[in-house]
Amino acid sequence: MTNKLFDSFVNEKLKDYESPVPVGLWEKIIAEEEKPKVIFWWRKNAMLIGVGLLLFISGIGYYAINKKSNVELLRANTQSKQQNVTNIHPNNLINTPFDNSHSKNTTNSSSANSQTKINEDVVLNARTNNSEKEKNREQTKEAVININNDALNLDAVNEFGFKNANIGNTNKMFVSKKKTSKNQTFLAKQKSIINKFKDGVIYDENLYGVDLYETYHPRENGVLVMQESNVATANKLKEKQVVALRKLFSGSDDCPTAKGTYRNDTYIEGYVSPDLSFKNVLSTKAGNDSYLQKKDSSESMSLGYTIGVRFSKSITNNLLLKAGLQYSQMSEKFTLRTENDRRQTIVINSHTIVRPNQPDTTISDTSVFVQIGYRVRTNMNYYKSLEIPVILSYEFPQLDESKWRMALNIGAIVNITSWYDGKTIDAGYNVVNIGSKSNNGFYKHQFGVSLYGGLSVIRNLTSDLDVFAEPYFRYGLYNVQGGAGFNQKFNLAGIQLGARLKISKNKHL
Amino acid sequence: MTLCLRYANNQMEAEDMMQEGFIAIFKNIEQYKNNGAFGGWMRKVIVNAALNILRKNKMHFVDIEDTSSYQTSVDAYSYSNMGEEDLMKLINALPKGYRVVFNLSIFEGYSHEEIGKMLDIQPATSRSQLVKARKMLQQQIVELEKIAV
Repeated sequence: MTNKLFDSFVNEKLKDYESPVPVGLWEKIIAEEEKPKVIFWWRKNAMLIGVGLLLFISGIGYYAINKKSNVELLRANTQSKQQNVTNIHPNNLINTPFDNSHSKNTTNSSSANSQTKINEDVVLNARTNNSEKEKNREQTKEAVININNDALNLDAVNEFGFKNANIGNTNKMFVSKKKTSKNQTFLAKQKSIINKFKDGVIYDENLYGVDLYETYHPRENGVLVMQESNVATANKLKEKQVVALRKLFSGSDDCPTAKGTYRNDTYIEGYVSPDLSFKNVLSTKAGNDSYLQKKDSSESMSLGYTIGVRFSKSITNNLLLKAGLQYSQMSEKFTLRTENDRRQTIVINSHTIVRPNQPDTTISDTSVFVQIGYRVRTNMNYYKSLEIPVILSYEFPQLDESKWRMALNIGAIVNITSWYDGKTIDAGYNVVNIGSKSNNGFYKHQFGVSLYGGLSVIRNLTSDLDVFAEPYFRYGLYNVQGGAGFNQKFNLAGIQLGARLKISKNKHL
Repeated sequence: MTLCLRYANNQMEAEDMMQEGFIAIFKNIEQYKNNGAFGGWMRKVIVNAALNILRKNKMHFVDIEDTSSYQTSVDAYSYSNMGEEDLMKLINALPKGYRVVFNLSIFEGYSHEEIGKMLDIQPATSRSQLVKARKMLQQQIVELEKIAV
């Protein structure tokens, strides 16, 4: 027989051959069809989304860590420019106008003459060429509040968190801001605070754009002078300065810390999260594909949850380190259809053949009718873990008057112990328990780490209490070793809903 | 279901293929343009779903070492005695790569070029897989006849 004949024989033979559709398959198809499309899409692309999210969050985290905060810039500028200030004002006489249109005459005076001067100044080298000035002007705007009265000055300096050792002869404090678009909000806030001062504080936008500008009336030869008789008024002003600068530095009435202007908040956070779990089964033994397929088709992940508590400590104004303890439970539905009962019915068909002039003939044929009864076993499996989350959180600066904040979180979840409860099938398709409180169950207990990435939206309720929502994704780096030649990995996506309470605030030095 | 069973390694895989195939049909029903038999279109979608599942389960096209030293010869009588179920079993017993090419060529009528594109293999590979599948199937039929006799 030629190949062509053989091919056409096979084709013809099986053209009308029908195989029975398994019981329950149509129901499964309909159920699958009715599943929400988003979940279907999400499950198919979970890994890609997770990796993308992690990369995005890692990038932002890297940027955040490497970016100097405004306060750090202030400190850096203070240190680098302090010497310049001393040189410009060797006698504690401060009057170096930044701009010709605002030039003032120098007035010599000393602390010995009992005059208290509250001057404004520009720290940068005003006598350098114009291009240098312009460059500096674009890059940095600085105002110096210089109080030469020792008693008054030391108090104020201490209030603001500068160490006495750094005061030297100049006793200067700096408010430095880069004039970038990102700082516009901050500067607007600064302006609004300064404008609130009614007695003695002037906001001079023409001179520095937006800067802190403190002065006192009257001026003498362009220098702002306060007579000794006005000490009471000066003290009053100093108090306002303290409050104003607290707000400038920390964005609240809290004081800066000994480190300068770092935020020093500690929070306790409680949260609960509904979780979607994604399981990835990897074969470690050749030839168990059929078994893993059967196992895979009998198990489907369902909604789990995480509940936890953690402490959160600020490292800088925007960065917080979080660590705590959480309990996580992944749920899985186990459904197995097994042959439970088989009944055979023998059917005998008899036909009588009637022929003329001959006796009737009875022919019987026997057929066997088989009925198979299936048992569907369902069970909920639980994978429970106790974990330590260690997370670095970058909080975006709070917009003026806004009660909302956003934060990016990256970190690791360390699984310290886990235990399982439920059923699965072994390589012989027998139903076995996965639960064990020791290490000899079907699944081996495993310590491991998951990568964590999330985005928080924080709503401020009171000065000490916030609520937050944090969608997140967890990528498991470790395997749960199965007892029949496979490993399984779990990834999670969820949204943490919780509250945080400020338990420690910024302190005075 | 027969279609899926011909491509699948086992009953479970065939069920998965059918399920995925019908979900794809429901999802893409608006893409059917009424320019051909609906049954043919459905068949194509299910075949594609089956191939997707096989791809996921890593289908390999490997040559099985040919140990036969003679050309298999089967007479027409052997074929006529062959039942459909037996033939299905023999097709299912073919190695995965052989089976897929055999199905696509004999039952779906695809050319080797088309099969090559669908499975991302060379047309020559498809051709050789078909020849070997056919030969193996004929050998199996002969063996079956020997047992029957």
